[in-house]
Amino acid sequence: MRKLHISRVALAAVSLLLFMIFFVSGCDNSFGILASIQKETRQIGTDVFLKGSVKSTADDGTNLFVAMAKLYRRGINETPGSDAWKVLSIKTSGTTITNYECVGIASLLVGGSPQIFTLLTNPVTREFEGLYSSTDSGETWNSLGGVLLEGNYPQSLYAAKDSLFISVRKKVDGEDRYDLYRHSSGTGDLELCATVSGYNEKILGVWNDGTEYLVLTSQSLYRGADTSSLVKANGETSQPATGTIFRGGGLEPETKDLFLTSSTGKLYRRQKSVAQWTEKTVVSGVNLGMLVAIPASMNPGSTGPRIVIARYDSAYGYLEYDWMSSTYKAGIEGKLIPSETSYSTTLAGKPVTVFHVATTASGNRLFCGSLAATTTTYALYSNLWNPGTNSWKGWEAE
Amino acid sequence: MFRSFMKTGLVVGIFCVMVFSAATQADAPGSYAAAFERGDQTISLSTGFQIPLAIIPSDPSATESATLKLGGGFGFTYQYFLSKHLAVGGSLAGAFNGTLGGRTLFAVPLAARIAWWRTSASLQTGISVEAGAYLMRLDSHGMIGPFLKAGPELGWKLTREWSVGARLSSWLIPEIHTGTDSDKTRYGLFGEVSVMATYHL
Repeated sequence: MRKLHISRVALAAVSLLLFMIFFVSGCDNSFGILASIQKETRQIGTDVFLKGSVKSTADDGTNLFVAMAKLYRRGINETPGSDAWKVLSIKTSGTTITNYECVGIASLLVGGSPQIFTLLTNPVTREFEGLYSSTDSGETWNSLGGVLLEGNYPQSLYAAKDSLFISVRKKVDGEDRYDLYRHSSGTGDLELCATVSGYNEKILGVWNDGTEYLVLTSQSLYRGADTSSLVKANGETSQPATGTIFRGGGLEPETKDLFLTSSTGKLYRRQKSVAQWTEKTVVSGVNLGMLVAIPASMNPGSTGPRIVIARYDSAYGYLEYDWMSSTYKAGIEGKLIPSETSYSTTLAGKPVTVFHVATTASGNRLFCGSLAATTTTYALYSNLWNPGTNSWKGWEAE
Repeated sequence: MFRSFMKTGLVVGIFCVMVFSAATQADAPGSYAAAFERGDQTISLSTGFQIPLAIIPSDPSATESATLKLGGGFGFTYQYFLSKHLAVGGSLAGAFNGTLGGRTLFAVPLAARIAWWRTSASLQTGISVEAGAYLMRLDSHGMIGPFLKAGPELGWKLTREWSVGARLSSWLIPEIHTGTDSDKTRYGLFGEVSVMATYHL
């Protein structure tokens, strides 16, 4: 009986100790819990984004487009949270498509004029349905064909320089394989980018740095003056080690340097001019995800860009990192959910799928799309850059 | 807000039914002398609403006046009577409040207690002051600090062993930051309205 009594006391003591450790381990003098709560802002967005999932965004300088299950559009200068969002039907010369699943949206300058492109799949089978372009901000659309894509499962739509790129998934011997197709706006033909196709490496992004096309897969970077001459980037100075798992990337818009995130918390920069790599550990051991490089012109006091990086794993959040000084503009090392409540109120707990910077009448606005289907919050937020204070105004639900 | 209120209310309701059921099974309800004597001991279980009253000082940049929602809480209290009026003891409580941004504030105070009781027939009325320390969490962030709680209590001696009653108290949670982070120091003020069941050992 006494033994049992001691066991119970010991169990209670251990439980209490574990409880105390759980609480004490999180103590952080630098984070004001009540101060943080005081600053929370009620977010009232548009219903279309409530519990939604944003796949991609694009703008043509006049309108902003968002691909969710359907394609949505609003004027780029409209106020966040307004009811200006409109779901688009794909009206072609012969028919109007309303039953579709939008996979991607992208924009290109064609002959100096902006064009919008969208990639659709069958909402039931998820197989390729159509690739369309619009020169009037989505009012009417033209089919760009796509026989080569039939029977495939399109994943993403990218735009780089003068071309569209479509990544597709297919099954080969029961395993996923990824192909990349290019659609040149000049020729109107689809071609398979053979060098980067047929692998089990997911395609994460396609860019053109003014000299070369750059294609990022989950394990490799490919480069080439033309997509028919893409080769794996090998032998470059300080290149990431073989086996590095990439999670996302983005071009710095002014220098055209490429920034990449990895699964181990590292941020890589590939300098365009010398094809030289530099790496910095942003958050050791943490799976980083999507990024957007904010140019040095929007980073006063620094000669380099600030990189907005989302976290890839389940402890979602993001930080802003000053590349040159290796300091944090928002967020702190080890805890990507930043200490500013305006951020954590809106973006905590959701995987980020896209960052997009658009120039509006009010200034540069950073859009952040996420997967909000399992939350009670919105899938799209935006944040206006305030050049007067050299800071972001704060996230607002769209 | 309404959903949170309903959830907490449901918990309180179930608690009341369970306590009443236990008390009536132990002994027939009726009028029992409520008086305490030196050496008496009681343990109380309570549950109720946690009402956010204020966070001070206010933040001039804040856009909302009320960012904490109505929450709930529970408590465990032990008392030892030094005389028929004066009791000392301790308490362990837990309280949660949702925030405007969808986060949950969770506070666990552990406190020493002193209480002054008056009794009349089956009625027990008291006022208590508790002081101790709290552990508080929001997301992955935690904080420890001093804690103060005070307020009146009311009990009805239902059987020889059991009393049921209610508690109305104020919680002061000072979140003190030092050094360069001292500007984050805030004082949280909460109100507790709870029902309780007390077992007389």
